[in-house]
Amino acid sequence: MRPAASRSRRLAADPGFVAGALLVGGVVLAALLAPALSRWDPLGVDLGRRLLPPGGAHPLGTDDLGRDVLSRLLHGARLSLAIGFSARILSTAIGVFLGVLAGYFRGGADAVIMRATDLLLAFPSLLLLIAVAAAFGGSLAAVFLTLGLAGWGGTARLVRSQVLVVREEEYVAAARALGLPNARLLFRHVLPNCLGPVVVSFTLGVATAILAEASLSFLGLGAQPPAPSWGSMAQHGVDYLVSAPWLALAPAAAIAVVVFGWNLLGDALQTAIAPETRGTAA
Amino acid sequence: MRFVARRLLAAAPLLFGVAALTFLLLRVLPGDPALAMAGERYDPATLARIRAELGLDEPRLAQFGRFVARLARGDLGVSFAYREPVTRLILSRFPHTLLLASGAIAIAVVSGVLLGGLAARRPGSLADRAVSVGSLLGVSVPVFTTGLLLAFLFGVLLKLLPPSGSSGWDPRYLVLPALTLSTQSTALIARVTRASLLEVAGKDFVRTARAKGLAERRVFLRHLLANAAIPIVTVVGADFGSYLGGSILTESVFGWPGVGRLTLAAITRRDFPLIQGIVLFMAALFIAVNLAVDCLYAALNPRVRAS
Repeated sequence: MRPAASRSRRLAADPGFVAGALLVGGVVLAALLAPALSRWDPLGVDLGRRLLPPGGAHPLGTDDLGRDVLSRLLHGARLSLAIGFSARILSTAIGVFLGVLAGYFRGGADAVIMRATDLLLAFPSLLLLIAVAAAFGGSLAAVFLTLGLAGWGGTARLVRSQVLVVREEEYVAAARALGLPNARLLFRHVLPNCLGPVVVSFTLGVATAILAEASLSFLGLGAQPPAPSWGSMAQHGVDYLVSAPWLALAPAAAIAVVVFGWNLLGDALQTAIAPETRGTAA
Repeated sequence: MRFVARRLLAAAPLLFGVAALTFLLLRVLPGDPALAMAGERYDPATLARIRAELGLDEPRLAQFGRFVARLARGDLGVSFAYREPVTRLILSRFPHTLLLASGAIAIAVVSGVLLGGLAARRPGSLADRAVSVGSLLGVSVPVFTTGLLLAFLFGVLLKLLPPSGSSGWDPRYLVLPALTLSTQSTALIARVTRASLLEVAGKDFVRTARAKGLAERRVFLRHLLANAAIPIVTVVGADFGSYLGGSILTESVFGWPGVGRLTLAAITRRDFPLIQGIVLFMAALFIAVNLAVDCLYAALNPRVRAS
């Protein structure tokens, strides 16, 4: 059997992978179909319907401005996934670029990049995120940039170590002996062989980014009202924990489900694709 | 002893570097403390007065010189927003944070080691898989979700414990925040304990201990756990160090009056002296905890002591 085929068969038999795929798939579907699935405008204020308990026309109740919590939750899924995904793409791109630079060309570039990586990974990440997000004022763009620009450390270190191994392989030496230019060598031979661990670190990283966005929004430093961000919805609901607990609990649970789904997926992929990187990715 | 003294000496330049970097970062990033204090409707004269009062109208190099001179005397300056010495502000909040951090770490060590030990007894068993899924869940659930769930369950529904706040040193207020803060550490410690125990379990000395007919409890404590302890201590040290610096999210959910909420307030109000002081304080704690962990390694493993 080809290794790729046996690998996907093993993944399909892994309950963790299946559960993760179902959770993530469900949320992605909810996000895509949010406008169709929502019966109410997520921003539509209706003071006559304030703080209605879950049930009837509002399966998850309404908030203090009479907005439908389920509709806001569905639209919040778009926001959460969009930020998690785009920030992770940015940091993966930076991480792969710097990791290849360091691992393939070695020398001074390697030393500088790895010291910068150590510094970034040593800093308490939430504190750094809070400081930068606060400096640029709470906004989605600021959160995206902060997460994207701060999250490449793990990927860079991972790719570098992978490149260090691959560049010594015989097929790379052979290609170099044939006189292939560096760019072709990199894209044709080195990079494709580093892809597995990158996919794993990307998946686990989406979970981290979603969690970070939710935390920043919870602290009032992410998406600003009335945007339906899960983090800020949960924060807003804290004041109503006694009278209208669904306001805080629904978005808080949604975040947990999404992050758990991505982590399950990442964990299963790690076991299947790159077991040697356990505990180092993301 | 000489080792400890050398490490403490090496900490001074490190702390100075952290202080300089924080000072620089704060002045490079956008955000004007005077503007944050003057509010939305300000006039230029007020703004200029506040800037002069805070010493922000001087050249940056002069500001830095003054900051370093004060620092050398152990003076962290006066907070912009609270108009109180930074040192006093931090020290007044720290006991609360220390209490929360110690409570959380105690819970995490006990439950994490127990769960990890349970999982390692029979790898692949139902208990093992439950612990492994549970620990993944533990690191996935955001701190504030755990906090809100616990506060709702025990504070609102069952009315067993106060859902938030802190009243003097009443221990009932500590339970929910400490439990919340502990979950991610518990998950991590359980994972590390399991992996570490499984690695040690295959060693000859464990087989010998069992063959000697030692009681299983003694084999576990004296031979397995003692030899698997180093990775566990590493995780515990790193988490305890970060908790001591204040847990912004947990403290926010429960209205806990610790360093974490002070940090959040300092950052959102652009309180430069307070931010600088807190970052320096965290770095010092981090160095101290790391030193303590290294000393523990030496106590746990004679081979480390020799080198």
